[in-house]
Amino acid sequence: MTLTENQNRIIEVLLDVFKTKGLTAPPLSPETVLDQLGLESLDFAQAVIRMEEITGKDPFATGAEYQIRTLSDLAVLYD
Amino acid sequence: MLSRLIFDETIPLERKAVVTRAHSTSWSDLRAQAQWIFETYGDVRAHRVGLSFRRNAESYAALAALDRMRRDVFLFDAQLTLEETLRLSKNLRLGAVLVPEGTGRSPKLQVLELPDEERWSGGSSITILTSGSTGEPKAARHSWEGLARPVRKGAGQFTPTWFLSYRPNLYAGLQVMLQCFADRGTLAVPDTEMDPSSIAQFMCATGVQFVSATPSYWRRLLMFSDAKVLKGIPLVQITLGGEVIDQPILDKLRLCFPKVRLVHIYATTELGRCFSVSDGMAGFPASYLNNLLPDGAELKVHEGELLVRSPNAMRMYDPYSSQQAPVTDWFATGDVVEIKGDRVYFVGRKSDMINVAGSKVYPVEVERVIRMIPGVSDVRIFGKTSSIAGELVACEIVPEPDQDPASLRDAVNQACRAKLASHQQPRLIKFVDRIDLSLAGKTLRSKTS
Repeated sequence: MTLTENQNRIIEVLLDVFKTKGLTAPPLSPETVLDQLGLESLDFAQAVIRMEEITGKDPFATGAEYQIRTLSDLAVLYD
Repeated sequence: MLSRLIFDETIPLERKAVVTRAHSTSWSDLRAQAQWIFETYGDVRAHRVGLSFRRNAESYAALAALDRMRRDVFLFDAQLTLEETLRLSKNLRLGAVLVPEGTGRSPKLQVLELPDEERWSGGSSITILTSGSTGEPKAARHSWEGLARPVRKGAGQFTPTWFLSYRPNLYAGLQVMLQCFADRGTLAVPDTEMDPSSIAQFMCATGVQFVSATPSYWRRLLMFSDAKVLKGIPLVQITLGGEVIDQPILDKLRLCFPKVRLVHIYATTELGRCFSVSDGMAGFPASYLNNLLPDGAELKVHEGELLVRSPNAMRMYDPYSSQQAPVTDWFATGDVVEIKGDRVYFVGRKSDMINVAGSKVYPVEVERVIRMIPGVSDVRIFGKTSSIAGELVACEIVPEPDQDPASLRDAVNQACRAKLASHQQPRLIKFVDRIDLSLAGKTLRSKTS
């Protein structure tokens, strides 16, 4: 299975978030359900800023609401 | 005050008054320059006069002459362009701006007259322009007497050499100059763009005994200049001010200069000098609160913020200052403090506070933790705008030489997890070569988005 560029980026960013927290990350794939990762909202805030640094985009800046369940749902916002 | 020091009193004619890297000016030369400026420009009609202030003897001579001419003087940083100086002068409704002619060593001034001058205050005054939050300057007017009140004349024959780390046109720089000149000392003035090792060599070569600087300024000196050169400076006293003074910087200075007197000072442009501490410990004794202090100031804490009533305070904001405030008895300093036992500690500036999802974080609290980590040479904490949390804590770290970034990052994360709450922990860590200081020598904390 090949991953999209943004799926790869999100996996990398999330691995970094786990590292910051001193935790070992579980296996991450496009199907990973984000809610079940045990991350707090500041961890997601960190991931979103890192993604903005990489892609130049912040899909959350508009205040829009998204239905995000999986890692793939999040990655699509950056495509 | 300055005019009295240069024109009226007995001066040590041959002694150096001002030393820069390129030149030195004796007291008699300084007086002659001031005299020449007084005679040449004494007929300037304007009473509200701007002075583009350079880091040299000629600018001090001009300032003394303007004091003698009883003008309201407004000090402009010489780094401003002429255009910007003129724009600000017009906004402040000045009658003229004096700009040094050419780049050489000449007391000659260019007089640029302006229309629409606001009324004269009626005496000699000095207005300090500091960058306000809007970008337009705050203009704090002091009387010369108020400015000079904290100056303590040294005992006997001792004539000190002072080092001017501060901008000469701001409150701290004026204090250092007045203290030095009142003692008939020598003022060693470095160039703006000197790197830390040249500064250390300059201090050594000029035989500096008194240095007043911010902790950030010292951190850079200790970090980037040769310890042997630093130890060769005949220092008597180090005065710290302008920023929160933490225990590590006091300890580092104590280690490098075991015999030096370490003093830290609390002063602001608006309040002037309020108090000093010389026991080598961070913070100040809780007994300072609600008592009359030696400098005449009184302190109290209201909702975590330090309030001060100071006889050394400015007279007023100029009517055309970007910031206006009623002249009140008690002045809210914007500094947040914490009382622990019999000591009061500075937590940070209210305005530097980072709001992480509704929780307050003061950069200094986080910097203190990171600065203790081996391999970290300097650090700056600031808020980074987040669409999800409002702000997140971000940090820039200057590593010591030969550090492995990956393991240093792990060490930083580990220490922060151990000592800080989740919202205080830096979420974004960047390694940089150096941390820039503001014009006032303070660590820049402007937020980035």
